[in-house]
Amino acid sequence: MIYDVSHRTTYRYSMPVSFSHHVLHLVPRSSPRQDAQRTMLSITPTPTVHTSSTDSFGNALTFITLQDRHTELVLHAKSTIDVFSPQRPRPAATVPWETLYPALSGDTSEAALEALQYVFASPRVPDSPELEAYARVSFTPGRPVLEAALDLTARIFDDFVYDPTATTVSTPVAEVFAERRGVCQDFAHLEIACLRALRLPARYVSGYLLTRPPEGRERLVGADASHAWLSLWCPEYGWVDLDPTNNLLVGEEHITLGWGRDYGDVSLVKGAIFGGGAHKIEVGVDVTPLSTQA
Amino acid sequence: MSVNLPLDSTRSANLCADYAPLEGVFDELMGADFTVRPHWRSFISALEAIPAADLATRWRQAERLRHENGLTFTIEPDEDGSSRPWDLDFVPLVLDPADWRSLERGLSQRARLLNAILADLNGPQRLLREGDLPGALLFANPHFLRPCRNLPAKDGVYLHNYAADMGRGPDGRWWVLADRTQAPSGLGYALENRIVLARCLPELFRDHHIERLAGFFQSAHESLVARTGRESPRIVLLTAGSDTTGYFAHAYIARYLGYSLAEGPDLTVRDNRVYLKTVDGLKPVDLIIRRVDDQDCDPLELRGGSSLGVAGLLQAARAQTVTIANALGSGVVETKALMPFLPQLCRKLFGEELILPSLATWWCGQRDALDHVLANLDDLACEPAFDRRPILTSGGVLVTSALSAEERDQLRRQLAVRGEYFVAHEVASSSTTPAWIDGKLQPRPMMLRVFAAADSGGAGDYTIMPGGLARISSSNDLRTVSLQKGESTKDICVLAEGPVAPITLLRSPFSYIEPKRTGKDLPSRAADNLFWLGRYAERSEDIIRVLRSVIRHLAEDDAPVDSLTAMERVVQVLLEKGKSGEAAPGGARSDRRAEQRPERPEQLIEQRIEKRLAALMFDAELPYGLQETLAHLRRTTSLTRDRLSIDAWRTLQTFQADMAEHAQHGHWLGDFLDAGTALEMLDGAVRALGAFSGMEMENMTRNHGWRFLDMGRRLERAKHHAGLMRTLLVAGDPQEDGGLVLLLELADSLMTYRSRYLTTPILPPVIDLLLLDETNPRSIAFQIAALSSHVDELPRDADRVVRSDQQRLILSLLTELRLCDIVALCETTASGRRRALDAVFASILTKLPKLSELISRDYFSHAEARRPAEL
Repeated sequence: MIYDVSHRTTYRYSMPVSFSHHVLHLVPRSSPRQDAQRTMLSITPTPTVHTSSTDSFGNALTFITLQDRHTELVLHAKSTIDVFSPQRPRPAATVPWETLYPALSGDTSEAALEALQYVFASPRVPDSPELEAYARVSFTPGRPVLEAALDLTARIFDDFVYDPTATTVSTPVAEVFAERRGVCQDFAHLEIACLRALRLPARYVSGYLLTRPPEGRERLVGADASHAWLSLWCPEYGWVDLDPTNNLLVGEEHITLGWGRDYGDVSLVKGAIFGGGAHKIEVGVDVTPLSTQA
Repeated sequence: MSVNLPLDSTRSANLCADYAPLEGVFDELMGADFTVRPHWRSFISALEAIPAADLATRWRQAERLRHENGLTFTIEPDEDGSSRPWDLDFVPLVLDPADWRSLERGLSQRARLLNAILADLNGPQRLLREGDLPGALLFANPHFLRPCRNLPAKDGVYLHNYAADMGRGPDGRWWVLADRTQAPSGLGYALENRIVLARCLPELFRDHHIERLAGFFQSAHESLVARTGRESPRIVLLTAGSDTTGYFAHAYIARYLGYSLAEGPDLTVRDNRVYLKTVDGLKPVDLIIRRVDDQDCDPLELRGGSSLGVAGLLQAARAQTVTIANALGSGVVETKALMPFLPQLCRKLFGEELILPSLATWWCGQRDALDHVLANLDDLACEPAFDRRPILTSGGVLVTSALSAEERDQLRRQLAVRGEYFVAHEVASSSTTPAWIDGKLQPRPMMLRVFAAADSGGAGDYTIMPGGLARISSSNDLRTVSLQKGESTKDICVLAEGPVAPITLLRSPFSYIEPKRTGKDLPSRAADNLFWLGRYAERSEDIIRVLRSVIRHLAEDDAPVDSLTAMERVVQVLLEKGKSGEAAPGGARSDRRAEQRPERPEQLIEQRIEKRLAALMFDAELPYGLQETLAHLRRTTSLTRDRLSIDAWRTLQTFQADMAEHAQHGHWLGDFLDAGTALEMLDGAVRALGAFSGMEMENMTRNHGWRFLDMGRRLERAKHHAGLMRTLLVAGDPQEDGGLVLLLELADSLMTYRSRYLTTPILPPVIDLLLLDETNPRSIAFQIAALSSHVDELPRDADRVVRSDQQRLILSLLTELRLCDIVALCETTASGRRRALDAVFASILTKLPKLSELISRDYFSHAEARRPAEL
């Protein structure tokens, strides 16, 4: 399925910003499950410094510096991405989960080292004995790793309430766990913390989701939002994407922007702003399917 | 600081008579046969030759020197964050040349090795791919910072500075206890110790060939300069700020080496280049010597909430427009988890054997090592591999044998589940060195911190500072772990084989430093702080003078009834400066007072005044009140302490401590204000603030820093007096209502008036003296004239021929005052107002805040606070 994604972010400041730096993760990357064909990133006002590079996780990264006074900043990324039909993994055919880390830790292959990066605590996913206990309910001895992970995904979906008012981007996982509510980012962090507590490689994926319109109504422009889920590494299939917010194995409707150890590694826009007073953000994401054929 | 000093003048001539090394431990001074080691002998006899009384005097002088430099706190704060006074033991550690040379070779190799490992881990990671280091060791390490991957480095040098904590085993061999690779601390203390010791014991340094430290600093400096690729680079030392423990040492080193001391907000990145914000504009920075942790260096890409760093610094590093020492991300090789792998890595990377062994250490992230640790747990000590967070609730380093059975179980579980995060090491006995304790030499466990700096060549060699910091434990506990909390320090004297060139450390070692008359690179934030220090110091004095006058008159009951109105109006002016305006001052006591029925009509006014005085003096919430102003003064003082002389700083410190003490106890006798105590306090305050302004005038060089401080003071004083005079002089009959006397008193000009005019005060001469007379340092005209000449001296574009906004504004005000006609000013309208006089004050009171704004816009505003945003 080929999609056109339009992601427009507008910042309006109550006072002029004299000068600002931003780091952007707004350009989708290619991966075994998609081909990021092209992206046009337009920035208004035009930045004084504009550098594109790749971060250490392989995501496209954009640095901009705005050195002229401005009260509004518009970041508009228009991308075309081909998402491939997913292979359907057989969860029961994966390795017993306990064997995964011991094998991985002695393996110096490129793939193993890549996976090993995502085994340990990261700034927004700290170690947690509580989450380990929660995870162990699904990860019974000898259970195939993907089967157990899907069970965990389902439990998070059942046990937690989707509530956009409950958390902010900086709510710690422990609080989400205690309150039992949050949004996609929180559930992704939570499941990653559970998996890492068992020394399983899990990474945070940022992207978009095509949301289907209600029956008989036109799809609303801009109704689609940026989304987050996670990816688990298993030796049989490599990285398998799981979406605890929707309780599913990720398919053709998930479009990947980038990934890292947690949200902090791939936050869409980070900035250091001088002046500016209060600011308002307006985000519009538009995911348009172009065809069903690649 | 306290000093361990031989005070006993009858002390035995033989310092070593009672000295007994501990059994089974290497002692620096004596061999197992109780004989003094050869390299100590002449040193000890030289010490013995100094009369004790002599030594005491010299030591006191040296101690004062230490205080002047402010190096009185520990190198690393305690776990609870507090810092302890820092001791210096006057007996240095003496090391013989051959011993030192082996240590030097070993450390140089180790620095080179760690640099190579660092370059690989933050770069291609071949060591992981080829199986030399387990991936988990890197990926579990929170100091492995992804944004710091693949940063370029000239000559491949990431580790410009390195320090090692060293100990000596029972056989006399050196081993490394810890590596410091991020921002090695302690160099300032080592330098300071040496200077104090050289002052205190000059004959030791004259008669013995002791290696000097200056050469090390010089070569370290030169190689850093070479790495920037610029002839005369602008160098800043980035510190975490004046409220951190290391600050004095940072300020000290920066001053010694002639670097600008900067905090994160002093720097900015534009066009991928780092600039220092100065009152003279943005100045490009070529080299940053950082004393800020990796994580805090760039809030844009590293820890977002931190305000210690510079947004965009990593981008500048990638663009190679700035050299950062040490390179960002160098904290990754500080972990003790690397220690067991170093011998193998040294062979692999250099084909050499590792010269200096580490304390036997196991990283618990590997099965074999973990099994060994679990099997021998009782003989080992455990600690976190990557940070200093405690493992269990107690302590950072756990000596397992000292744990309860329950704690041991808990530790075993932790190790089994999260082994990657732990190391275990041998509980080794450290060597002992003589320390002066209780009037005699006693053996004490010691640990060394030794410093290395990369050489300028491309060969990747390191120079070791011939000296360092010895830390000695106050107890006799020999386990090396207890030395982490070393309570006293020593200088390390490395003996040279021949005469040493007599470079004195008290002069800058660098021949190229030309004499300078100005401090050109005044960071904007420092200027801003000095400006406000001037304003708050003056504002405190202004308020205190008003309080003092009014209280004195009330207490002495000598005020004519008429002058009460004047006093009330003056007090009201101060109160109205705050937002609260007419609001009733708080304080339960004054409320109770108000309920009393007055016996005389004027008592009602007195009560009202007293109530307001109480608010001005003690209400901490009152804007422009004394307490709030003192709080601001305290804050700005601490922000500028590196720019104040020690005496000026002390004066303000003592003053503020006194005021805080008074504020706590209040000044009440029953329901009445205790005028006697209050006056005593206020008199003391006026004297202290006077002393401070005197030092500011007499002791500060006339650089931009002083100029901003003085501008703040002038501006505040002019505003204050304009406000008072407007209230008292514009309407009514100030001659009769006591307003003139009060004004003269508040402007400290009563004596001058009397000596000039020999009459009771009348309006025209008072206006002249307090408003127009440029020879009276308390007149408004004097302040405006001073501001005008300061503004003329401010840095601006050299090719700008027209006057700046500030110049035009202050010139118009000065001219206005100079053209004033006293007779016209004194004329009253039909309604009894002196309209011309009012217009002058109105002009002063609108133009001065405008001037403050303009100064802020042009000289400080690029210092505005960064607002971190997670968007």
